[in-house]
Amino acid sequence: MRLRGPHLLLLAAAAAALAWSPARAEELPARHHALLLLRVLAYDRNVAQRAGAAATVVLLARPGDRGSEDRAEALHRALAEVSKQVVVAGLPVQAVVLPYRDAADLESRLGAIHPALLCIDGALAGEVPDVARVSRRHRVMTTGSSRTMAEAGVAVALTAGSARAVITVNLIAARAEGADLDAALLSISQVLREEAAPSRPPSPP
Amino acid sequence: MTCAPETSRHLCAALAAVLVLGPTPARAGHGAGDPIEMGAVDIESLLDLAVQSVTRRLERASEAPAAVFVITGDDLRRHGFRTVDEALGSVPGLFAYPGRFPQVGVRGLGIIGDFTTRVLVLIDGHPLTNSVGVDLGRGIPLPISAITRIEVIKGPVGSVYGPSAFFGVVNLVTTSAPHGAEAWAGLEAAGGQAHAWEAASTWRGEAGPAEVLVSADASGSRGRDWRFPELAGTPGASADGRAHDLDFGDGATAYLRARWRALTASAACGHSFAGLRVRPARDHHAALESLVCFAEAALEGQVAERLSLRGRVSLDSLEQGAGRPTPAPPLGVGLFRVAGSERWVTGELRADWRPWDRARVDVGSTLQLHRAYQHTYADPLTGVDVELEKGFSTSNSWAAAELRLDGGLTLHGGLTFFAHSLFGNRLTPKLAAVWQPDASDTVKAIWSGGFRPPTFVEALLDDQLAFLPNPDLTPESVRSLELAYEHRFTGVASLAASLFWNRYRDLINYETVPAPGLDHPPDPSNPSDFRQIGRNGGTLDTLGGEVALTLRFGDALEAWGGVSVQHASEAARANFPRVTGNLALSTRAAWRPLRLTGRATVVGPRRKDATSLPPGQRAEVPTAVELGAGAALDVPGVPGLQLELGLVNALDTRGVSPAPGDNAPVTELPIAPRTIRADLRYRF
Repeated sequence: MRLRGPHLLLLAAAAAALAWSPARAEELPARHHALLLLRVLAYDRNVAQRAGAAATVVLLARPGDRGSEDRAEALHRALAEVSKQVVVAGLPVQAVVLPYRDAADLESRLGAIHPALLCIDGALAGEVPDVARVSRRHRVMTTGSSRTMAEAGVAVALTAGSARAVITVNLIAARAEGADLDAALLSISQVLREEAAPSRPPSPP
Repeated sequence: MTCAPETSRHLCAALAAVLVLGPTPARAGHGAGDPIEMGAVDIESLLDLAVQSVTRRLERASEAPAAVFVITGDDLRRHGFRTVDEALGSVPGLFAYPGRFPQVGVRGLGIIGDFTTRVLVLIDGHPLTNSVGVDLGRGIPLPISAITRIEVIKGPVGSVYGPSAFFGVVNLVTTSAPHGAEAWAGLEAAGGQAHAWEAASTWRGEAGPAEVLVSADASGSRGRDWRFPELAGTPGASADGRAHDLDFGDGATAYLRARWRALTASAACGHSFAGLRVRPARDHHAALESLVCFAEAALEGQVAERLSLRGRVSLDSLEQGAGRPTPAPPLGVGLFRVAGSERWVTGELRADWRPWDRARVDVGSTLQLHRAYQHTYADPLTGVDVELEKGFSTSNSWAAAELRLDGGLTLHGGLTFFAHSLFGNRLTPKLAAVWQPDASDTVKAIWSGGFRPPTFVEALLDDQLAFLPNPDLTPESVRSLELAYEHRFTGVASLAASLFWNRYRDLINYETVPAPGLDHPPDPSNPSDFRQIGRNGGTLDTLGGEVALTLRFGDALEAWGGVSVQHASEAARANFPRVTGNLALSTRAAWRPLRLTGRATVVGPRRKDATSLPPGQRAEVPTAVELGAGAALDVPGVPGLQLELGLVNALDTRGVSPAPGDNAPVTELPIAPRTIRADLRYRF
């Protein structure tokens, strides 16, 4: 009565499940992610000072990594769509996709764009310390897609917790980037109060 | 005009709702062209992710017109749940109980021999429920490590899903999860020695242009020792009724899901082989084997600005075989076997139309063609050789509408017409109102119905040993009224309370009757003188209340729990606990890399099936309490590696549930003895 064939198939599937490639950060649906980014940005009492004429969101992607570029593009589309409906602190919303090459390149580009928010893709988790140094100089609040990224120096991480999105705030990083986050946001977030260790690259999520 | 900071809270919540759920610009309460200030949008509503089970489209859980409870994938991992029935047993208002395979009862109703044919079980929206049943233990073709959340709806949802959503819906969701891989392996030990192992792996990511999930697991057990006092001294049994290594078995499952643009394809297969739990001694032939597979393709697209269509086709197959050794002829029939199968194809088309911003209409139809087969045979000398094959078709057509009014009020209405080629037609209505006076409070009033025709097994199975057919069975129906209230406390806690009333008509229960053709009066001490037959009951009213609390304090404390108290108009209702309680909590407060967990379930006293109660047996099982605990350590220096230890039934109590009549003379099935689990998990 025993059915042995299915076991072989299933074991093959198990092997296939592990034979594939590297992990990526936890994700939210793009539209949901876009709205949460803007809502979190609105909790920054300094946003109007930090931003220029518009609340510009820079989406930082790893060039050549198709997954990273696709995610940034999807989020860009979502932000472009919701920007027709919403404002942040009275400012219109803009979004720009920026490939990350190195810290020096980012430094020069941020000076020209003057963004209020820098959204770092999960594929760049290993670059967080370098990016954070630039963002702090330019007073741009950073967001990431995993708690690990927040621990590495990103100000805010947004992750999907299955039934509920989870916000992690690195309070020291946020302040270093010139953000003054409302206590109402901290009350619903997981708050990291320790200083990040910027010299140690974070592990992949 | 911008949305001013003093904007009322319900408007802020409504803004969040239309922003999240509306693919097209929708501005409740705003003039055309007015931008919405993000600072006025309720963040709680944005954090509240969507559920899909209630209306078969994404909506926020708090707004869904049903009592919804969600267990997250993190919850599953942190409490070390191995099977779906274990996880469901922790949901307020539900209780797990054993039978031929694990089942769950909802708000007191746990029909013995139900085989999960009244709770609709879905994998990413694909229905598994069939005429034979769903094994909530190892019979679900989805590794539990692939599940990102379990959505549980308590109460009939027949107006949306058709007849199998009679007591509720359980949707096992694998989407919206992080990309990456996870490998997991675990061992179980009971009675001082390791008896079971399990391993699983899951990968999510992109393969070419498609987003893909691949998951597989395998398990094996040499069985544990079980004690059945009723069997003490019977032929083949030990003096104290203890049998060694009974629930032996192995299993494997695999699930594949791929999404490319608007096309989603999924396929799953699960095989399980398990020794029967109620036996005087281990016998490899006394076992149940099943193979469950399905494949589905779905296509969805927006055909106009306010109209989207979704179609799906699927093919399902269930094969089951069971063996039960009996004495050689003429004392018995030798090795008795039942083999059965059911295969069905499904086609579905649905349309989601938004005639204007505040209204939504969902219409659709599902057509299924089934073929069920049963073959019963035993020693050729006995002449036991019965084959039965039956084809039937069903169709389920529905229309549901939703209308958002001012003041945070949303009205829902639905109507379903279900037709079964063997058991007739039925119209099932649903009306609901959801009122959200502000972002923290939700009030729901739900009036719904359900309809369930007899299953192939209940009406036609004639195995010549334990079950008799009853083709005269009529469909069951239910009318349900529920009033629910939910309050959120600043995003970290929520309290839900519910009052419910259900009126069931013609519920089908198995009864024990004398075997036909006996040449002597039935002997109560001889199980072979009796058979099981499904029969319609009369009217049954259940009335009760439920309170559930969820706490999300991050590392400090994550917990959920609740109590459900219910009353049945039928005093001797079998397996109906008046009280059930559940609690699950976890904390990292002591040391962040270490998570400690605890959980408890309580099921009040339950009556046994009076028709199968032998003389001298107690008529009721006492309150069953089960406690569990666990610890998970993030191994320092190895990101993603976790070591987990768990203890199931920590007090080693012998909590029992009423046994189905075909287990005679055994009338009580115990929970598993104290079991230790050690797992290793690696996410990368």
